[in-house]
Amino acid sequence: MKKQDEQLNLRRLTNRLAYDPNYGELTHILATTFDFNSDFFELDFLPSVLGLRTWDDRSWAGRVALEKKLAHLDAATVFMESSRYTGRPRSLRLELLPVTKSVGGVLHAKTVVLVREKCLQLMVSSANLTEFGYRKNREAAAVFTISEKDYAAVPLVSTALEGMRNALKASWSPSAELAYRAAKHRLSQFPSEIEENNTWFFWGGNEQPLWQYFLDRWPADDSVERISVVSPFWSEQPDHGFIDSFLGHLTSVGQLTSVANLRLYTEAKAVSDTEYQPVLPPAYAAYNFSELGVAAFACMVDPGVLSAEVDGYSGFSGTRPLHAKVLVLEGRNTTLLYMGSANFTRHGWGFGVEPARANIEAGVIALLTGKNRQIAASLLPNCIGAPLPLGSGTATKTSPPEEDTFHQAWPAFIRDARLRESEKDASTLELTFTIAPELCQGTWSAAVPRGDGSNVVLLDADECVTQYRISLSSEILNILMRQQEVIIRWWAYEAGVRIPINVDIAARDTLPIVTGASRPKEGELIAYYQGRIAWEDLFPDPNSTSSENGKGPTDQSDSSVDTSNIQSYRIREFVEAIPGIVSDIKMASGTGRTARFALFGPVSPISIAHEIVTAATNGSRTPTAAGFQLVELIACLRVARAHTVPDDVRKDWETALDEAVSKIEAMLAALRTKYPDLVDGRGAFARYEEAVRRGVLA
Amino acid sequence: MAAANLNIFLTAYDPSDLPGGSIDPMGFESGYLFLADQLLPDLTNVASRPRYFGVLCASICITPVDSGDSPRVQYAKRLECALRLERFWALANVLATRGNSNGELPANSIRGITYAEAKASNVLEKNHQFVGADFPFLASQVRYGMVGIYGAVADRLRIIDRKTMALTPDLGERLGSAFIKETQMPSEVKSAVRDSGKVAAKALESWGRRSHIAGKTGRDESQCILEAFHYNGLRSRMGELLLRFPYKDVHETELSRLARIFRAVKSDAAYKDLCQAMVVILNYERCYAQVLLAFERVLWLCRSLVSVGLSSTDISTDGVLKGVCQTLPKDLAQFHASLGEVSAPMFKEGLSRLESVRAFLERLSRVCSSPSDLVAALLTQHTEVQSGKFDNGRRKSPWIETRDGKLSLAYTQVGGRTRELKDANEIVPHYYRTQAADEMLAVGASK
Repeated sequence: MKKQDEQLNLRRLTNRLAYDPNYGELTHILATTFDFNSDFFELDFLPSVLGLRTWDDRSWAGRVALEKKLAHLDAATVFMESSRYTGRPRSLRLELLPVTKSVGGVLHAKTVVLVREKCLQLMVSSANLTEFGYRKNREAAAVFTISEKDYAAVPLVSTALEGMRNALKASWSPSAELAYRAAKHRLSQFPSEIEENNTWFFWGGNEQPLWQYFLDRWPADDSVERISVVSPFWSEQPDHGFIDSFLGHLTSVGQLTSVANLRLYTEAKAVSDTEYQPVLPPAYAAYNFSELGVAAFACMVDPGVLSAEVDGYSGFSGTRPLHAKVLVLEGRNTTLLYMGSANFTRHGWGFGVEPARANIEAGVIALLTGKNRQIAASLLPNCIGAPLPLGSGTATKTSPPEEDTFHQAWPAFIRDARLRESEKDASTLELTFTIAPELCQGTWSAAVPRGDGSNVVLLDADECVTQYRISLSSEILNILMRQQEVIIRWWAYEAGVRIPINVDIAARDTLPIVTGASRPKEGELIAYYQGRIAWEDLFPDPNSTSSENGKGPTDQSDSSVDTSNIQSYRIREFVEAIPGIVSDIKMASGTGRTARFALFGPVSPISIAHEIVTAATNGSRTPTAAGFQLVELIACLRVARAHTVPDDVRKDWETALDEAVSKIEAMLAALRTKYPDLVDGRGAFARYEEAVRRGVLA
Repeated sequence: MAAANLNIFLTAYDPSDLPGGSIDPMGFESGYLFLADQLLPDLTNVASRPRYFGVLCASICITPVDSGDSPRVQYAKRLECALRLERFWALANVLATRGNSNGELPANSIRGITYAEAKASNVLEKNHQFVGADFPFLASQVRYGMVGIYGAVADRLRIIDRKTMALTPDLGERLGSAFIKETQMPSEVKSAVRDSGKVAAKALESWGRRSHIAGKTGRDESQCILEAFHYNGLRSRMGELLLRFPYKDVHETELSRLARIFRAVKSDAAYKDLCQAMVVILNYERCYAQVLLAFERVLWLCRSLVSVGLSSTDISTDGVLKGVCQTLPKDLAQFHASLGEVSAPMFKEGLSRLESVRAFLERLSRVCSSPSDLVAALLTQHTEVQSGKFDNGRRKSPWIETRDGKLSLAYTQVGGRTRELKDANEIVPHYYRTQAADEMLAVGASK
């Protein structure tokens, strides 16, 4: 691959975060975003980071493959701005938490944390989790990859993680905490000595405004000669905060040279085939910058796409909206750089607003000297033509930014809507609403859409308590699993909005691999463990009429004799599947979730055990045959204790194995209770069982 | 952290919506594949170098598989060895080519040649004595390398069982053994493939000369490939015709050759089914060329009138589009007539696979009195075809859209030619696998 192509690929966000076998499997995801597009996230972002690189469709098989990968994740949580909610991902294994900032401002930070078996990646950027953010817009990003090869950024990433938890504490969930702890644990595996610290991570929306924190990093012994701001959005008035706070501060401390040059990098709006105007509020064209001793210019960022970026195609007519947010101060010897999510607006940088009312933003600040100053230069995009002078007396015309009017009303008093294991019966799920009583000011209701235009009312609340628990019939649970959202109507918004429901971590093992898919039967599981069919074949599309997509494995062999009901054939098939069962358990002895999925999921020894017990109960299996199978499964699990497992997961692995063994032992005990012959200590079964158990122990 | 370690950048455009195969904007692909199967079933255009079959089988032969391994484990082991041998063999080919100054061993149809060349340069420049197979190769080697491209064909040729990657006892095992024996595969290559080890560069180069993609195949290897080719009766009879009627010269096109074969044997009952297929193909391609010409013309006009858009007046007065309106109904009539002649049972049974194209051509033909209506019908079809394709989970968009009553290139339009086309002969037709067949038959000739 040519060097230029390699560099282009490295500047593509999905490539930067793509699965790399050297870093091991992905175990946790933690992300924040303003806008979130569920289609992009599930069909583009996740396949990239999970290593499903040949992803190309929305087929049932593709969905099953994705769900299988997600089932191996310990936690995946995305925080997004609630007023921008448009829909949740289809997988209930992903937690989507809309955030409403209580005192003003919005969640605007764009960060992604990926915890892998051998590394941790943190990306902070201006890119939302949307297709435009990751593929089309002109964005800026910083990626920190902590691994054995490079762990210089451990302190910075650690600060970023702590800042995230602090900024989002009101919405923080157990899943987020799990991912956070895993990330911190991964960091703890690398040295964190600070040789030199001139890079900082900053979360906005807290005690100190971003502009102040940023300017505090400027060295006292240098003066600012040039200010470059890249932003798609701007404060309406330059003197509302920006001039007072930013330039005013620099002037007051004598750190702005009298001939400072201010460059505003803006979107370029085409007003004809050949003419462009900078996208800036009109006040910028009329403001008297010269009073401050500042020469201000607008630089229109070239919206064109380089031929090399589209595989050398020369007729490409698409353009790239500007969405990067960068601020660069340059002095004689120093450059101070900000790159992150904050637009150059009042709530973005905290100009003239109480710090706590500013947006939650995330970004990196770096003090650069020597040849490192080139890093900042590389973040200033190419412009169309010469910079246009701004300010009173100039002829520059600007185009006002288009207002983004999308703002979803949101029931901020609902902290969380979640399916959990019922307190009365852990095998069933109930729906819980967690409420912020201080924000609850009237009556509200929750309903679930059936999908046919009608709704089922789940709750009519005329008081505000901290938590509501709603028992669910299997019919309503099925509807909820399918719809994955509930409609909330409340005193201030009778029309109602849909909010996402999430699934508690403890309840995720009980989820079907894909909503609508049936659990595989014993014959299918055995065919899989024998290696005759692929994992994905166990979950055929229930809506497909194609014979190829029908139940993958058949209970019949290639001969014309149907052996599916002949017990001796069944048992022989089971015995032939045992090496596959052992092999699958061995392969799963990695992260906790992978192990649990392989031991308790829909394709697992526990799943086969349930099928065996069902067969014994309905009389299609003799108690002795069923007992034999259960004892063999226990032996497979006992043998697995001897597998080589990394130290940090050994305890979880053994706990999961013990839990699986005790579940099957309980099934075997129930079988003995029902069929006392199995208990006969002198019988053949007892002798066999004793021999197997002794053999395993040996 | 030190700022010097900052990994910070402006993002590059990530063209997910660039159609990787920005082919088939009008939906002719499925019909073409059906027709190609009527001449040379189970082959593909891209799997055109039969030596790959020997490499694939050899890799499976040398895979250490325990009889106690589950089929899944066996598959994984075979796949791993196949990928490794493919890399060694690609590198061996390039090293042999570099060492052969008279240009007799071109390695240009090796899959992943760029990677192998880069590795070879590195080996030669740094004078490495031993090389492993762990160098960068195709990013999706399984999909785009030997296993994906040749494995699928080998499965249909009954050489391997692709699902388990096991060799068929009669053909696959013989071919694998023959390749190993006749190319004198060094034992150190076998060991390195099995154990992820290294091989002496000299030994690899030497083996590369004996097993080269452009080299002479051994007797048994050739015999196996010929057997695989002739295993299917239809393919075998088409092979006979290809041997009888080779290309006249370098200027003859594949379709011209098929037309020549058709004329020569049309009265021979032994080739009746093949003749019916050839005549349908020739007429199908004529219609295809007219439709593509009209579509390319609209793209070109949109590109030329990018600022104002393409109006119905522009379309109505365009000479090329008028020409398509005149020619297409005649070509369609011939296509219909040739379909009516089809009597070969298998061919006749599958004609429904041409139905969607036939119906589309009928719709076009009915509006050929007006270039504007023709273009409207073309774009309706194009939009439907594009919406049926997926790319990274998203439906593809049409290349042309209507803005203010005029046609313009869509925002992310990237398909089509960049030069002006005026004649249907300039449209590149589909390829009907004769090159792959010629290559397999040539192996037999070298026996």
